Amino acid sequence: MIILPRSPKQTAAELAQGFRAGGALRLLNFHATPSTRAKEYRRQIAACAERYRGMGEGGIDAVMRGGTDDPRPVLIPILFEGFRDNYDVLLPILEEFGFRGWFFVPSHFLNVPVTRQRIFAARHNLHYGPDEYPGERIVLSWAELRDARARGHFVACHSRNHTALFADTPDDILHEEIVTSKEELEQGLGASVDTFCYLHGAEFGLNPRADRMLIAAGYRYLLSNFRIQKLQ
Amino acid sequence: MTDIDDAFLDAFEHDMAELSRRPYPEIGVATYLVAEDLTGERPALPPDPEGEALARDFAAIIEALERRNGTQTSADIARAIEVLADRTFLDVHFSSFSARPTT
Repeated sequence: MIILPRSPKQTAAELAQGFRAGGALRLLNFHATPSTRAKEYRRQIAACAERYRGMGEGGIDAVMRGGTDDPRPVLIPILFEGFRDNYDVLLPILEEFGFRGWFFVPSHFLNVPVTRQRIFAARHNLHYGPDEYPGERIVLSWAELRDARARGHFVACHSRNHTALFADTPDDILHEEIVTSKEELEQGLGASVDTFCYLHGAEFGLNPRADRMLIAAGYRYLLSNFRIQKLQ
Repeated sequence: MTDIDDAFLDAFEHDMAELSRRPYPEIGVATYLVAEDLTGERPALPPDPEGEALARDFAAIIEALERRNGTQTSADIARAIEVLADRTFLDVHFSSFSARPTT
């Protein structure tokens, strides 16, 4: 369910203009990454490595300034949701081929007790397929997230409870999902976080109260379904 | 890209339908985004032939889909971008690395 601030027709025209102006970025979107598909992921990433390069923290600033001297185009693997198999299965493959993963994590998911993680996932649109860790946690630990960042991967906020944005979302919900999530993520990570993405990828302009809150909280970038927008 | 005739559009819509049947929660999905600077600080970029071609193809396909099917939804736009990415990221369709749905 993608809710846009403007009509689809106008959005399509804006996207075409953005592509034309050199703003196209290539992404690979992942969610859960079970080991049953590890060979598939490895074939995909190996093929991409022949043509593309990775981009970590700070890279998007370079893109916004007009790119870098490296002629190879950028490819960004996005790892949504914060599942443990991102760290166990996909991360080693990305590193083998020189890519940096962008982890978009619902901050509270990492604090849910092991016994309730599957319930939380089911209740919050966090689709977890084959259960590879029976009786164990299915979510990244804070130590794993810190380790991924220390190894050059990028961590961003995916709301607190994996929540979508609507034009009428109340302020208290916005505060928890935008502000509290940033505090929680930064505390667990031990580092600042400046990029945000809602469930279903709403973009700037859909809810002006949310837009103001994102800026006041200090976020610099908003990732959405069709754009990555520099806010400040 | 070839001209957008009925055969091309049939194949494109077939790919849109096929890609939508994939198990999104556990596969890698190729897509394009637009980097957009709302602060107005981004300098004008030099001409980008690849971006120009992508823009031309995307606009033509959306227009053709609208002529055929009526007003496009946000989901239609997302799926059209996915098909373009699927066809252009590599020399083979990116989705060819994933097992096809069986039902």
